[in-house]
Amino acid sequence: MAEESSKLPPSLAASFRDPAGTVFAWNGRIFRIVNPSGVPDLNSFLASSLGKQCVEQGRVVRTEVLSDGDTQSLLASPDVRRLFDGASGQMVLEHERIPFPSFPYEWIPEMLHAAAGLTLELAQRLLPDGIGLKDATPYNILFRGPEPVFIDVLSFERRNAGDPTWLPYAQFVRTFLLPLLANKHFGLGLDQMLTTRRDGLEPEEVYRWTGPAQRLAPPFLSLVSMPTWLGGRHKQDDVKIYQKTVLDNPEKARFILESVLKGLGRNLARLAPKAGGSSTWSDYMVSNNNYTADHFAAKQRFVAEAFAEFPPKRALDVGCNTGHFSAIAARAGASVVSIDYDPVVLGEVWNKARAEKLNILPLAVNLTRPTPSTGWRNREWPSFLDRARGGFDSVLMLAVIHHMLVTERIPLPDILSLAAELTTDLLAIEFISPEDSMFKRLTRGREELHKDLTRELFEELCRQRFDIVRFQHLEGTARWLYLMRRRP
Amino acid sequence: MAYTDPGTGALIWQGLVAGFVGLLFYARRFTTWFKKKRGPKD
Repeated sequence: MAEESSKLPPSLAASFRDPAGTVFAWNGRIFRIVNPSGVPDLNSFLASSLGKQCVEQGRVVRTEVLSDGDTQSLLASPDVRRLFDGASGQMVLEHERIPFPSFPYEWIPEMLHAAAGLTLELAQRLLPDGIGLKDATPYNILFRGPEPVFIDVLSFERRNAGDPTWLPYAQFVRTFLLPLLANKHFGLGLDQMLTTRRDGLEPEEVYRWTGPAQRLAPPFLSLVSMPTWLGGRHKQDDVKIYQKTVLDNPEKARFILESVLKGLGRNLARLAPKAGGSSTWSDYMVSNNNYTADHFAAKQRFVAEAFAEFPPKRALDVGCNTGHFSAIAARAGASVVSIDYDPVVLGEVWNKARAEKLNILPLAVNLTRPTPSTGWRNREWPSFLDRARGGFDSVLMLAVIHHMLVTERIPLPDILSLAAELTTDLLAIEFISPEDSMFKRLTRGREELHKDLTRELFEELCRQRFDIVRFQHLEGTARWLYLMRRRP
Repeated sequence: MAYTDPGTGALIWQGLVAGFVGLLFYARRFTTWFKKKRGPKD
């Protein structure tokens, strides 16, 4: 059985919960099999003029229904045929491929907020065409650069015009609003809350963290306190509340539904992450005394020249800080993934990318402790490294390896080995010798540990996997920039 | 603490809000009707 299932095309595990279809990747393309239970709702969405508008504007993932001929060609592969039959397929869709899938526990609060905004926007925008949204989870959203895209087209349904309730109301509160609230008011990181909690936070849980006055203040009163008080008083054997309410007056039903969605929108606005926060690394680019303006300009020139000579298509910027070099890669035409463990600096990257329309996806990932595989059987959402390995033709590791070497005690050969797994071609890396003031600050008297680290050793280790194209010393510092190409 | 079905409280709260908004719907309708009735006559 295990052998048989391993022959199947890699069905994206996260789609197994969907009763109406399954998503799979095949020859680098993304397909979705839809079974008869999902076809009517899907057709209504695809025929809706507002739905088409959302797709054209990039708010919903681009979707094509495969023609009969294309479907038959695809099903000629026995593996795809087996998956199609197993899912009782009736129709096959092809979706645009989003360059780098990311998950809510890797996002910064600004991104979760934008994803929530998109979810509410779609729930409201499609109402005039009689289309509703039947679930509201961040896992329905991916990011194309810094912009959210709704990917689960099987979440749209034809609405009963007399239904005044939004079924995923509680799910929206748990998975979007309460994590944003806990981040804003209690300083909890999204990774802390969402890595092991697919379904977000319960109001009862957040209620325990709040003080008496806070419980009565907005947005706590409506999102946390009222649901907690009402849920606690509810008799467990009373199932009447789960029965669908249908009103005789569709106009009234829509008025109520729109008011509920607007109310959620007001709460979402209250939970907008604070702009311009500060952290240990937020002013690193201006306060770092290892660089003068000339050093910084030289570094910028080095990276820009590297990308002019070897134009990047997909770049990874490790330890991106405020994203200065990510922006250079993006302006050179790359789709960039920028990682750093500090969500505050990533907020700047995200804002800059949106304002300048740069194709940069900022993610709160620490490469020394990257996001693990999570979910059912640890197979629902792949780890960061599973998604990143071999996924980039250019990797930037500027002013970062000393943190990996000293703070995280990762051996240098291992760092270079991982760099060679991540890039298929280019590596721009900064060597920082133990004489560097920041290196010394990080070692805090444990210089003994790195006494053998020299530039000669660094080059020798690099040459095991890379060809050095060129290097440049930043005059007056203990730092060298290297441009390398991975050996095939 | 007794087991509470996840989402129950939020569901009840949504129902209460919906009931209140339903009253607003009729209030708005009445206001519109009243304004029309009191409007200038030719």
